[in-house]
Amino acid sequence: MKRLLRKNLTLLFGVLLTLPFLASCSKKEPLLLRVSEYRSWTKTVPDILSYPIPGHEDKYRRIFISPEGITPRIETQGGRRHYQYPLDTQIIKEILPPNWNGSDPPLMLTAMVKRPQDPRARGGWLWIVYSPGTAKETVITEEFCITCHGNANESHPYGDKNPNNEYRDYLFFPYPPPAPIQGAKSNEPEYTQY
Amino acid sequence: MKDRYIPLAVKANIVLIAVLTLGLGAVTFFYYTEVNQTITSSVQESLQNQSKILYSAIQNFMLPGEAPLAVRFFKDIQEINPLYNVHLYRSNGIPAFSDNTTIEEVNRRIQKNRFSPRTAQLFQPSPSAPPVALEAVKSRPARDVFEQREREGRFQVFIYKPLINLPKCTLCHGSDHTIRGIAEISTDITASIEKQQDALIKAGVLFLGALVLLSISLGRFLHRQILRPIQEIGTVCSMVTRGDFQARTTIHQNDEIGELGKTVNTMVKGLYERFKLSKYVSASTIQSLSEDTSTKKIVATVLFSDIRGFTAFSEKTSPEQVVRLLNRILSLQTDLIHSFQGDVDKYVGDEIVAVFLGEKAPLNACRAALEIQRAIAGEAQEFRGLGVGIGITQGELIMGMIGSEKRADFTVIGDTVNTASRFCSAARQGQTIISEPVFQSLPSSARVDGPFQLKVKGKQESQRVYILKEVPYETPS
Repeated sequence: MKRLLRKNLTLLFGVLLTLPFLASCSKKEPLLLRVSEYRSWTKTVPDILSYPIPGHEDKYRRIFISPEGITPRIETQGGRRHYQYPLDTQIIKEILPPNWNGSDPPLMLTAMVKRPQDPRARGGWLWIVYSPGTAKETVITEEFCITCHGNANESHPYGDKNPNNEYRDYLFFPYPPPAPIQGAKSNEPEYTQY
Repeated sequence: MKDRYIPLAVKANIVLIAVLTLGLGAVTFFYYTEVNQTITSSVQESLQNQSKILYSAIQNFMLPGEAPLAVRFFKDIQEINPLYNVHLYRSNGIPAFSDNTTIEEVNRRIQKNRFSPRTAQLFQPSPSAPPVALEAVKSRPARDVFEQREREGRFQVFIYKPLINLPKCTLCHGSDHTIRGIAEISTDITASIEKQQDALIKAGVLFLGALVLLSISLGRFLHRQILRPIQEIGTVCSMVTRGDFQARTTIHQNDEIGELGKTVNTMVKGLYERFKLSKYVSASTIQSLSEDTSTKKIVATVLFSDIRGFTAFSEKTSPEQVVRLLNRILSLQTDLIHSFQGDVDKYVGDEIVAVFLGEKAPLNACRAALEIQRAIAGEAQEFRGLGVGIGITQGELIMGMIGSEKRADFTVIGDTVNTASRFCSAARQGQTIISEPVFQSLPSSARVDGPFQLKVKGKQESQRVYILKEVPYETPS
């Protein structure tokens, strides 16, 4: 009887020890990105971006902004316009195959989530890559994304080209869209003499 | 298999050294690896920061198209610190500024001859990027790659930083690629490594020193506080085992060991008192203390001995002489009874009551009686002509604790005992009267007188008795 009790207690102890470990293994971090709903959001650019750019090369792109980001705070600081997107704003860029036929699923999603307090944030944003195949979300802590997007806060070759060096909060295509420059070719990069 | 004797001191030292080696070794190892990691990550962090500054400088040189300034900048850096190297490669690993390819491509892309091709003399001959550098280009997202190399006793840390084709770069360099090139920064960390090794040797020496010092200190402490007192207690126990009840421990410690020493001393004192007490009580009484004390019926041989004419002798002799002579006669008898495996149950005045147990009990009792008679007769002059009469019987008797709770004897009672007493009373000086069962137990070589019919008090029928003369010892064949 005593032996049976001891055996059962050992088993119980073992199970109790194993449970937290198993629980921690099975515990999955919830996704930050709202991947199931982003297609219903507003597009920051009405068109599909088809011209090649570094980082995505010849892949097509579509950009969506979550409802939180529709009305950013825009104020002038030292004579320079500053865009400041609200907390939890999500900007999701669909990376589509070259010559996208309109129905193929995206190859991946690259996204920015406004989370200035997160230690992984760079420039106030979490830079995230989402793979639809594996439904895996990866926060990019290297400087690759922000280095490139840092150019959005000064004159650049895309969209309206940010001619007034506005602080666009790392968005090449901010929302609401700024007024287009008269005479500039739409969505085509152009050499600018610096 | 016989267990190998390992002294406690050796065991304690083995455990001590093992614990110290593991404990201090783990601390030293942890310290060394932590220091190593800290230095490595510090060097990497420093290089990464430097690479960021360099990256920024490259951007500032290249955007206005001042590539020659960038080349000069790299040279200056190397001249300031020869242990510090900066190289710039294109994304395919070919050294930057080694030909006019980029200039021609940019001019073509902007459709202007803005940048003039350079003459071959200005190109710096330089090796291509190592394969590890291309990993910085291939990885997605592009990330810095670190490498540590050892060559000819020198240690170098390399960082390969991918230079991103930024949107503002695309105007000259096009948008069809993500990485423009790779910046390689290396620094010589031989001095740091040597300092690390030096620190490791010092830590090792300290570790060994501490190990030896602690081993000696703890070993001495254990020896003085535990091992030596235990050895002393062991010595006292050995002396007591050999019969020396005067041995005492001399441990003056106010701890468990000191308490143990005091307890051992108390125990030895108690043993000594019990040993002294054993002279005054029978062996069966002593045995009963450690064994079953319940009353039981046994078969035994009882020997009764009484000094003849003692009362008359004591009336005309001084008490001191009486006691001295009585003790001598009793001692002589007691020794002989013991030598024949008998137990003196009690002394009653000048009487001795002895019990013999076992298969040879009647034979042993008879031989003891004959030896007593012979010894006393042999020293008749010494004993002033005194002698003893002895009665021996064999049969059932009751053995048990007789007396009160405060004072009791573990003794024998019963008809066999009473009959032996009667036989003793009937025996004249020098005579030993034995009962029929005793006679029947003796070997055929035993010589007796009788049988006689003896009428004793308390018995209606006469007892068949014999006067013992001789029980020859068997001669070994």
